[in-house]
Order: sequence, then C-alpha cells, then structure tokens
Amino acid sequence: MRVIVASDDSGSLKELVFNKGTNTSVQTALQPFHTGVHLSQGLSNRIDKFYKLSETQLLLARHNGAIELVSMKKSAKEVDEAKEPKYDVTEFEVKDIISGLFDQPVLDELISKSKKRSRMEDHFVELYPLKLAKKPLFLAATKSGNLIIVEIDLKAAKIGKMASHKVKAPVEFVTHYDLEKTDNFILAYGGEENLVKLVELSSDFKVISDVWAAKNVPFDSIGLRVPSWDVALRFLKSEKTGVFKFITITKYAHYRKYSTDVEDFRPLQSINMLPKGEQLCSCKIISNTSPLGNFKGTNFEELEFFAADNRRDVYHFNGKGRLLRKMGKGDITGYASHIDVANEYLLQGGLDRYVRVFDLSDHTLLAKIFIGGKVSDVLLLEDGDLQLPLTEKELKKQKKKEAKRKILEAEESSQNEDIWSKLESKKRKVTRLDI
Amino acid sequence: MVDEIRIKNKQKRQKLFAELKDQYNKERHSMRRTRAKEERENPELKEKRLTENVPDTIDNLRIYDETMGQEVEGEMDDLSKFFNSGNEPPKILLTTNVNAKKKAYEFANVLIEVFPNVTFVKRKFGYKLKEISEFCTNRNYTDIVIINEDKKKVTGLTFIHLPEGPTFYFKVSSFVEVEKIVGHGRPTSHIPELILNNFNTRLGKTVGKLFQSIFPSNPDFEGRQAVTLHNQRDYIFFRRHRYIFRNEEKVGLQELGPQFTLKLKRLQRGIKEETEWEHKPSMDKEKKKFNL
Repeated sequence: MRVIVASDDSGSLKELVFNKGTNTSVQTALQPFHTGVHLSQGLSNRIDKFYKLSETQLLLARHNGAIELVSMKKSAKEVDEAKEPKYDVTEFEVKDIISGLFDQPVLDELISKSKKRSRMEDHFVELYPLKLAKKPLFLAATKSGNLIIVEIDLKAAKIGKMASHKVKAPVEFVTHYDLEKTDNFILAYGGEENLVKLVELSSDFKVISDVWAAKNVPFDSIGLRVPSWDVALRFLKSEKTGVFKFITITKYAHYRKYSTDVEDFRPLQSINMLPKGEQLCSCKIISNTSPLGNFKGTNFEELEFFAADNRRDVYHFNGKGRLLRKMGKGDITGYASHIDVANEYLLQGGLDRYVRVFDLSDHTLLAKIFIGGKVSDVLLLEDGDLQLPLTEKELKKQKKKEAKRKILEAEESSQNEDIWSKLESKKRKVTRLDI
Repeated sequence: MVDEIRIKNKQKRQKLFAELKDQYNKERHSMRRTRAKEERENPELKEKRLTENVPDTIDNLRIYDETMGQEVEGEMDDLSKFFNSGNEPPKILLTTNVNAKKKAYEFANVLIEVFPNVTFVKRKFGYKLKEISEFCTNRNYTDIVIINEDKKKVTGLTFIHLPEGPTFYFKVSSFVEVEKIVGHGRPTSHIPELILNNFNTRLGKTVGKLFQSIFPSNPDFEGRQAVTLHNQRDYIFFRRHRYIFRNEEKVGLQELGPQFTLKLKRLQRGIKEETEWEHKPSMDKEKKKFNL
C-alpha cells in the first residue's frame, strides 16, 4: 500500500509504503518499508488538505493561505533485494503557488459569539474538483467563507485564481452536488450558527445566488432554542428535478434529513444519535458514492456512514441514525481529525499521531503506523501489497518442495508408462460376440 | 526435609522449622559476608555480578513503545509557539474551581510558593473559562492553573497554556504538607532548578515541555533549590529540595516540601477543545503499558 499523509508538526507531506499487517506498535510485526518526509515548511505552514490531480500531480492547501501545485515523480528505490521488496519512492516538487486566500479578520469578529474557547484560525475546509466543469477547475473553501475557484493548466504546470466569492462565515463544509448534470454548480454550506444554505454558482463563475436556506428545528421539549452547528453534509440523488435531498451531521450529534421541497424549510427528521453529549466532527458515506462522497441512492435508510467525535471514537451509523459499531476497539487514543473511505478501506489519522487502515468488509485493523506528527489528511495512492522476499528458511523449504515434486513427477510418469506398456502388451481375450 | 517437617506435634515442628530457618539464614549471611569481602578486594566481581543479575521489574518489562527514543518532529521554533521560549518569563494565574472550599485555598497557598511569578485570583461566579483565558491573554499571562477541589479534597490540577493551549488535566494525590515532612527546610524566593526524570515517550515529552514552560529557564544557582518531577509508571512525583556540596564527593539534601503526585488524565488541543490523549480505566488493565 502507498499512502501520503499531511503531518502537522513539521508541516510536511509524508509518503508511506507498507503491506497489510504493518503495525509499528508491535516490535515483532511487519514495519513500514519506507517513510519519506517531503516539503517541510513548519507547523504554521502545515498542510490542511490535498487532492491528487493525476499520477504525476498533486494540489496542496496550506495553513498559511497558499495553494501549491506539486509534481510527483516516481523512481525505484535501491534496496537489498534479499531483504526488502522492490518498490518505488516519490519525489515531490512545488511547481506553482497562489497565496493570500485567507480572511482572518472575519473570524476574529466572530470568536466572541462562538462556543469555541480558542481563537479561530482561518484554514482550508475543502479542496476538490468541480467535476461537471469542462476544464480542470478546483474549489477551495476556507473557514472564513471564501470560495475560491482555482484553474489548473496541467501541461504548463500552472495554477491561477479564476474567481472568488464570499459566503457567510464560519464555514465548516462546502459540498458540491455532483450526482447529476446541472446547468450551474450547486453548492451547500453551513457552520456554527450558520444554517445550511444551498447556493448556485453560475457556469462562468461570476455570479453566486441563493437557492434555498434551511430553518432551525423547533424549540425543544422545555422550550429552549436548539443550537445549530452543522459539521458535514452529503447529498442524495433526488427523484424530482429541482429538488435536493441531503443529510447533515451536527456538532451535537444530530443526524438530520432534508428535502428542499418541504414547505417549512426544516429537516424531515432530526435524530439525536449519541445521547451522552459527544460532539461529532465529520461524516463519510461508506458505499455507492459519487467521486465527491455524495450518495448515489435515493433512500435515506439505504446509506451507512462513519462519523468521528472530538475525543477518540470513530462511529459507524446506519441510515436510521443507529450506532452499528465503534471502530478501532479502543486503540484510538486521540481525536480522529481525518477519516476517509477509499477502495473498501477506512483511512483514519488523528491527533494521536497514528495512521490506521481498516478493512471495511470485516472492520479489522489492517495497518497502524506512527507518523511522528498530528495528521490532518490522508490519501491512498496504491492498495496492493508488495511481494516480500523469502527468508533463508522459506527458500530451503521451497527448494525441498520443488525437489520432492520433481521426484514425484518422475515416479508418476514412469508408473504411467509401465501401466500403458502393460495394457498394450496384454492380449485381448476374444469373446463370442467378437466372432 | 519435607518428611522431617511432617511431625504431628506442632511445638516440635515449629521448633525444628525455626532451627532450619536460622541455619539457612546464617548460611546466607556468611555467604554474603564472604562475597562482600571478595568483592571489596576485587571490584570487578561486583560489577560482573550486577550486570549478570538484573532483576525483572515492571519498569524494565514495559511494553514496547515506538515513540520512545525518537526525535520530536518539527523545529524548536514551532514547539515554542506552544510553549515559552527561553527569553520570555512565564506569568501564571492561579485560581480554583467555582465555590471552592478551604482545602483548595490551602493548596493554592502552597502552589504560590512553588511556582514563580504567580498571581492568585479568587474564582467568582459568572465568568466562563473562555472569558478568563481572554482576560489573561490580554494581560500577558502565559499559563492558567486551576485547582480542582471536590468534597473538601484537592483532586485535580488543570494547566492551560495561553493563548492557544494545549490544556492538561492531572489528578492530584498523596499530598503531604510542608510541616509534616521531618527536617524540612524553608524555601527562598530563588528560581529553582528543574529536574525532569523519565519523560520518554512522545506524550511524556509534551508533558515535560509543559513543566519546562512553567518554570523559568534561568534558575538562580545561588539558591541551591531544585524541583524534581520524576515520572514512574505514569505517576509524576513532585519534590523540592535544597542541596549542599559538603565536600568534593558528598552532597547533602534537605527537603523543602511539599510532596504530591500527579497523574495525567487528559491532554486537549486549544483551550479544552479536541482531545489529544485521554486516560481510560481500561488502560490500567495492562500493567506493563505506560504512556509517559
């Protein structure tokens, strides 16, 4: 398996090459073959998000408000073939950069109203391609509500800021509707005391207009206002045209189902999934998803998703909002700042400085690797295992087996020949029928 | 020997057993005496014996931790973003939980003497932690220390590094007042030297860094005072001594007190935001696994 990880402490990109069964916490277990540290720029310039453009190019969004276009070049690593398997390592090089995409004063004004105790630092919340665009265009969204359209010239290795729009801050997520082709780009955003809004971005990226805005749920049973803090949103496919269906997860562990054809703009259903006051931070749908993680089905109850809380647990919920299991069996000791579903694997990385890979079919831990820094993003590049060279014992065994097989084959062939010769030499009895 | 002990008369049996034990002890003592004599004459023998016979302790049988012995990732400049650099002296605000009782104030009196450049403020109703940290940041405080008292006992200490965290919560136990330490000395206002022992893992190094940031990095050596934070099996023992060099070989120690033990329960990013590490009761099942 080949994975790249954004490591916060050194502000670097780390490339890991390992096989399934790797566990750095167990001394006798398989260890990663390669850990490469690239493009270190320090904690204040750490990588918030990255996206793989192609086999040779990568887009990085850094905590200082810069987006970098990085080239990847693979080369074979010189290894002792008797001890280590053959593998490639990647070299990364920054080709182009755009900077100054943050707006910190907006967040400084909001901190007094926020429930967060620490200062809100502006950072990238999303970085993904606008799939339905004709040319390679990317959307980078910041916590301060900046939506930046980034155009990329892959051949010339150049990036540029094509357009920029402002939405209400603070923004926790910006989700692009990529389930069917629309004339304009449909985006949904929300955050702390910033209820979900659907906006339409014109195809020339000049105009952004409101489409729909959600209303908060009614007051609770004792007549108090329910605080709103949506942290993730995923679209579902809708049967009707012009109607959007989506789910949201809130900080207060509410799972809400929305449809824009409802008259009161409120959720169809709001379920409290975790009654002990756990705070959720992310949502990843498990199967039948579009490239941007939206659900291709139409029924809310068909989907299943992972969500991480701000302490140490990664939960697996079904479409009814029922908890199916917790991942990791208590092995995870810090907040899982990144979870992602890729090729039937769950990738998890967090503040405990480990990257874990789980198998989605049986929920077992496939690999656990200590990174050395807090993890903010993980990307799976290759999921196959490397062929390990045989040890001396195994080589001897193999040789013995081969020798045995040769002897057996020789014996078998000689026996066969004997039988045939016997059969051929045997005189056939003449029966009356033959006559 | 077992047959000899199978005597039905209890008194006779006890007498015989005592004789056997006495004989065994005498043999042991004489063996040790001769061994000590031999080793005095030939110190190499002692060295050899000590290297060959290393006893198994829970500490040296600890479960492998890959973070031990590894270099801390990132530059020192980045770490000092979270913790004070050497030039800036720490400024600590000490307070208690809301509605604290007498014990908390008594403990606060002790901590005022221990921490340098500390201001105690009585906790009042109506101020949230967010507001307190904001006031402190505006007044150039570098840390907030909150004493937690529950049912007239000091149970915890919270350290919040300003302005951006992290936050540490420790359980406090085995507190011994200065007066109860026999032969204790009286501390002076000199900045003490800091001795951090056994903080080996990545988490341990972060905790060590916290204590480094609380005590100024320019101690007054003429005060001859040392604060020791010794980590053993995840319990951090706090001790304070004054030392004196009696001659070139001998050093005298005088305990200044107080004594207390800390145990890390939680480490959070920012001011009580996302959890970086949290102690769970299930972690105590594994006796040989240590986190610091």
